Amino acid sequence: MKRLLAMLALLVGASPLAAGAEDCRLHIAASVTMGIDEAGGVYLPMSIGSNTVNLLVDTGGLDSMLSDAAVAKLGLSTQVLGAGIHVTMFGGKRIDRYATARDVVFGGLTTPSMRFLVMPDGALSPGLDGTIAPDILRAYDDDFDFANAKFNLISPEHCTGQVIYWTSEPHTEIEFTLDGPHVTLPVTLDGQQITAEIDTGSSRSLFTLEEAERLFGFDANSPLLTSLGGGRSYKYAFKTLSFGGVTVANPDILLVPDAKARLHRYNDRIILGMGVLRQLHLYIAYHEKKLYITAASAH
Amino acid sequence: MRQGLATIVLVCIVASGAHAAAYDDFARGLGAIQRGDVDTAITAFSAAITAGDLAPALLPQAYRGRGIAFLAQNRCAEAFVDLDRALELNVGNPDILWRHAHAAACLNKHDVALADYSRLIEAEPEADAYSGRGRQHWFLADYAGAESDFVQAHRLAPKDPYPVLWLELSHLRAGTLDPAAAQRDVATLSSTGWPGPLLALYAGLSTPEQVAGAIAATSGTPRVIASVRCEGDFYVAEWWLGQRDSAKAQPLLKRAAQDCPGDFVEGPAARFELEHMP
Repeated sequence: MKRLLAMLALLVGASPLAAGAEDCRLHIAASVTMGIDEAGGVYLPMSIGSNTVNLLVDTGGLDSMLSDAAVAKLGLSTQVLGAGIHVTMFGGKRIDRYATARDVVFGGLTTPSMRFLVMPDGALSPGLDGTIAPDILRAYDDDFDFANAKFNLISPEHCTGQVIYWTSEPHTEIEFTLDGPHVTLPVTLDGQQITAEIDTGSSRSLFTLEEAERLFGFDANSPLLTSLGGGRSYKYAFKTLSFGGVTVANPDILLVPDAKARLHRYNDRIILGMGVLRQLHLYIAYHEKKLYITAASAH
Repeated sequence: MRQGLATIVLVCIVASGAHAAAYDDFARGLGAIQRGDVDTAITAFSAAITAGDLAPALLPQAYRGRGIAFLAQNRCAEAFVDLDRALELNVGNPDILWRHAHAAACLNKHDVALADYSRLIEAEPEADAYSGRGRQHWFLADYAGAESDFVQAHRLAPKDPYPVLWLELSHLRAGTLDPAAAQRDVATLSSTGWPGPLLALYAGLSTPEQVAGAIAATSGTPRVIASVRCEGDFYVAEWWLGQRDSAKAQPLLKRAAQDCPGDFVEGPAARFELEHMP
């Protein structure tokens, strides 16, 4: 789908963060306190006109979205994306409209107007109005400081590799590949190398049931497989998930039948969700294509 | 840490100090809630709260998480205290308000729950909030208020049969149940499955015996069967109360009070009725 949304324009001075020598300081474009939704996802407040909306941070999305209810609450009109143009959400729901918001303020960033895709109601936790997605997120470095409930957008104009400002303790760096706007990296799950996608919009980590059965050689009768929610999803007793310097023991990965997920192009990858990510201090340097990681509570 | 819990190890990365423990416990609590492991959630959130240095923005979420875990164990008084604290720290948060209302209703603090639902409706007039407030009106014997809210809930969620069921229940209590009107209400629903037999009973199209037959014929998972039995017991008991036959209602209410799944509104409602029966 063609790129539809405008970036937030940086109209205010950026605040510096110390990260090495003076000329290598990081500059914060926006700093916002994160909230945690019912499902464990993180959300951020954004002002639109005189209203405040809460947006789920969704690195696994495409473009930022507002729900139908939020669009109605804000009194926005909607337009169709174009003949035959649509976006498919997890679960198969289609999105084919957008709305234009005016006077948008996000953590010190402002823009006179911004387009949002319009998503159906019921896809988000209560109290959430939409998502903030890579159309905004990938224009900056994204700094997820979960332990301090802070999310920072940081200018990518900094010295290469000079980003660990929050601790002098050791960290790990992982190179990643961008698949469209999505951060993907190789992970090892019980000895099998698989592609994973960093998805803060997913409260738990996910993998398709069929691909897991194929890779790990189990079937529906396996004693290590547990059905959840009447066959809507499954759990398998995986032992370890590792990537870079990170190892997760007994990883919590939901296996979803492809008929339910209905995202066929993604059925060969693990979605790394908040169950894993919230245990990290995660710095995504989109321009360097590198993740910088420590334990969430390193300081 | 209990075997089977997800743990994460950063090779060569060590976080230290009380601050680390507080957040790590908090994150462990969130993970436990997602898996439905409420014992671990209570332990982890308690540790995060008492550590004293959890980030202020996370503290209401820690109280909220522990409150949810207490609610899942039917420890309503402890849940209410936690959710009250969470609401103090995060005023007006809709998710916390929902839980707070649930805990208040569980403790028969129906006026508190009613105020919570009113705030939710004020923020966003949703069918579930009207249904929640309608039930509080019903508990408080304000049947006109209940009728008004269930009408709104039905208007906002026209395919949901439960606002209609509670509307007829409120009519029954108010002495205004009109089978012909109930038939018209029921006719607006497209679903013919459960709780169709209960709606038919209130619309004068069925009998308690026929409802019992429908319950006996229900198949599915143990959870589905327990759910149908719970609802059947409660709503048929209410129908008997409407016929002024407490003797037939009482054993059904006792069974609903004892056997309804913990997250079903019919269990507390049955206990309420038993406490208020002569």
